[in-house]
Amino acid sequence: MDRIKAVLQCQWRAYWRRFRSTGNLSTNNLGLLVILGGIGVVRYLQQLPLAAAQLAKGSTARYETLLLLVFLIWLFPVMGESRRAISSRDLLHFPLSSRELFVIRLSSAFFSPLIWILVALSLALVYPIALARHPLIGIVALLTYLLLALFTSLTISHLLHNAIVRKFLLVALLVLSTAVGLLWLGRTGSAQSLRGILPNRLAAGAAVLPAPFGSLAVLVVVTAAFALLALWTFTLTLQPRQNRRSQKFTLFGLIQLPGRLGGLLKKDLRYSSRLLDLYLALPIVILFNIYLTSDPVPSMVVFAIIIGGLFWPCVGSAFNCFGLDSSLGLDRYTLLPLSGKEKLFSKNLAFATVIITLFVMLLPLTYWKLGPRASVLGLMELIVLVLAYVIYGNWMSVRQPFKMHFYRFTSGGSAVDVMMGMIFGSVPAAVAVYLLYHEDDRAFWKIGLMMLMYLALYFYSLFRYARVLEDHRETIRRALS
Amino acid sequence: MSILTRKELMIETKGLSRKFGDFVAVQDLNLWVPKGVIFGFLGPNGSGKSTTVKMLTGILKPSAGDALIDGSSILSSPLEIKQKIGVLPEDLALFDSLTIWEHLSMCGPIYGLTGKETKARAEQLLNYLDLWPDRHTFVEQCSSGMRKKCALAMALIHNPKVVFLDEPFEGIDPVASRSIKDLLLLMAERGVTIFLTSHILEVVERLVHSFAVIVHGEVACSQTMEELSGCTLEDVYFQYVQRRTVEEFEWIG
Repeated sequence: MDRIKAVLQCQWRAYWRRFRSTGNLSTNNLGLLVILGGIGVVRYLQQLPLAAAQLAKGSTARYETLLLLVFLIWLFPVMGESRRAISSRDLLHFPLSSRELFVIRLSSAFFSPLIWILVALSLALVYPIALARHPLIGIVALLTYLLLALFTSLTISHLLHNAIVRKFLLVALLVLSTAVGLLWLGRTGSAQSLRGILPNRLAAGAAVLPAPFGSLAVLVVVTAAFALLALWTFTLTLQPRQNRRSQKFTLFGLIQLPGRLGGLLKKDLRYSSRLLDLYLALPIVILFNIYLTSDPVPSMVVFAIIIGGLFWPCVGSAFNCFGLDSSLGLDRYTLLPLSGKEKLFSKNLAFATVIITLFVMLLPLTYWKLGPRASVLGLMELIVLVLAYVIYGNWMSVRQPFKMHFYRFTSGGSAVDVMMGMIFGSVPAAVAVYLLYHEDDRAFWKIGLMMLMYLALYFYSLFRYARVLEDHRETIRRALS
Repeated sequence: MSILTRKELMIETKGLSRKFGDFVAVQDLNLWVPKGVIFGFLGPNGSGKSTTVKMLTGILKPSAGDALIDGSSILSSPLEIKQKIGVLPEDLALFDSLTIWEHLSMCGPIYGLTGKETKARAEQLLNYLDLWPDRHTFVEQCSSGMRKKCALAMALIHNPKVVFLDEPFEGIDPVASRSIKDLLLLMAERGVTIFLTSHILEVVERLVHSFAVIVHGEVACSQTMEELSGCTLEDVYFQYVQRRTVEEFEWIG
């Protein structure tokens, strides 16, 4: 126990040192994030009496939604945590067992003030249960449910260490998105029966059903299974790799990109593919394709909105383009005979490639259902949006760089700047939607004109921030170390 | 300097200095390294060797002074210089999550090599450095010696005029070490200038044509190997660098 305590003390100290180094509430508009978060919290708290009233009448719909929301939010802080000073693998040199290391891992997840707030908000769900038919069983079910959320997020974050499992999780995400889309089309029947076994329904059922122990028992078994899974996956992350990881036969190994910057572009594509946020765009692509196939008269306006939506999960790559590089990687950039413009351009090109790849996944069905005009207009809108995002992103990347981590979610930067960037980036999409909604015959020319304007702005941004990049190289390097 | 014409000089530093806050890492450094010479830059840890290499290779901006490499100033023509030099930095500066092969195939085109040239040279270098069987291994999975050899191959692939090597023999096995030495001698013979830092004085003694010892950021001694006149390099080194004794460790053993 003393050994665990000693390690946790060091972790705690290191965590808060790193936390303090990010500055105060005025740094990176953290204060605004707190205000916005506060508004979200107020909205959440406003829902509690309504859920309580429903539970008192035996209805669980609102309570289930709140439980689902809490579950999803629990996934992010653990999977997005990046301030742990000492990784569990680094502790292997000490005489600590796997279980002790797991306890340290589990405890260190609670260092973050974000988790404290999350715990408090989750426990606030006790209030609606107090008015339910079985308050005590409901509270036990709620606590079990919260543990399930924690163990699930831990398990996923551990599984992301394994290359094969990552691919499996990607397939699972695709299957799940498709299933959600198909169920959404079907609405009733199988969808209803599937909902019955979801953990949030089980937790809610334990509070209101006439025979609550069945739901509770299933929930406890599932939670215990996930606890064991979290422990097992954790021990897997501690195993030394038997063989050197080789990428001889992977997709990126096969791709050979031409040109002087081809190698750098390939590197950045590989890096971008390791940011979890990007994968949130895949459900958008899948759901839109399902919409296209199912709707007899799909709307071009929806297509224009979806193109704008593709950019939101990818803002991290656009607004913090050096964030996935290490300080050593930045040194290599400096050693290479490349100008600042070339370095920034290669990053912009990588972002554009990611977005175009996502767009290409939309194109065949769009062409089939909406025709060539919509496809060309969509492509033009996409180009303007890419330009808008990288214009803003170049400024953000050199002025407010921060370290992002592979296989983690990222905020993309300070709250207000990201929001401003998303608004700035989405302006062309809004214009395109407006033009298409009003069936403007000259939409083609107007979007084309917008494209030229943004292209000019892009060149200005490239030249301007390439110079800043050269001048602030040391600052950026420090931010990434 | 007097016997060397400016045309024969490959590296020339003029009052090169670097401060980090109040700490002076390098102070008024003046060095002259002729073409086709292997130059050893020696000194204890923290003496300013790596800082000097970083300034000469464009990673750090000098606080004062300038340096000319093949006649180009590090202040006014950094890109031109980077095209001419190859660097094995102290921390290797490798990218995470790229294989050895990907590092080399990325570098070649940036220095203006064609894909075919890059492939041929990379294959030859990796075979010579015994990295060919591991070329598809991610660098973070490689041993420190393999990573160093990968960074060395990256420094040489574009046939640079000047090569800066920061501790090239550290963590390298004897066979690879011998191979690297042979390669450096061949390069020097063919007119490539090599600027290396190392703590392994025996290796440096057998390899370099001239050397300088830097202590506390200032050059304490600079001479050619011919000027040693009977002394070993170690003798000269310890004239300028002090060491502590081990008697105080009563608790050991």
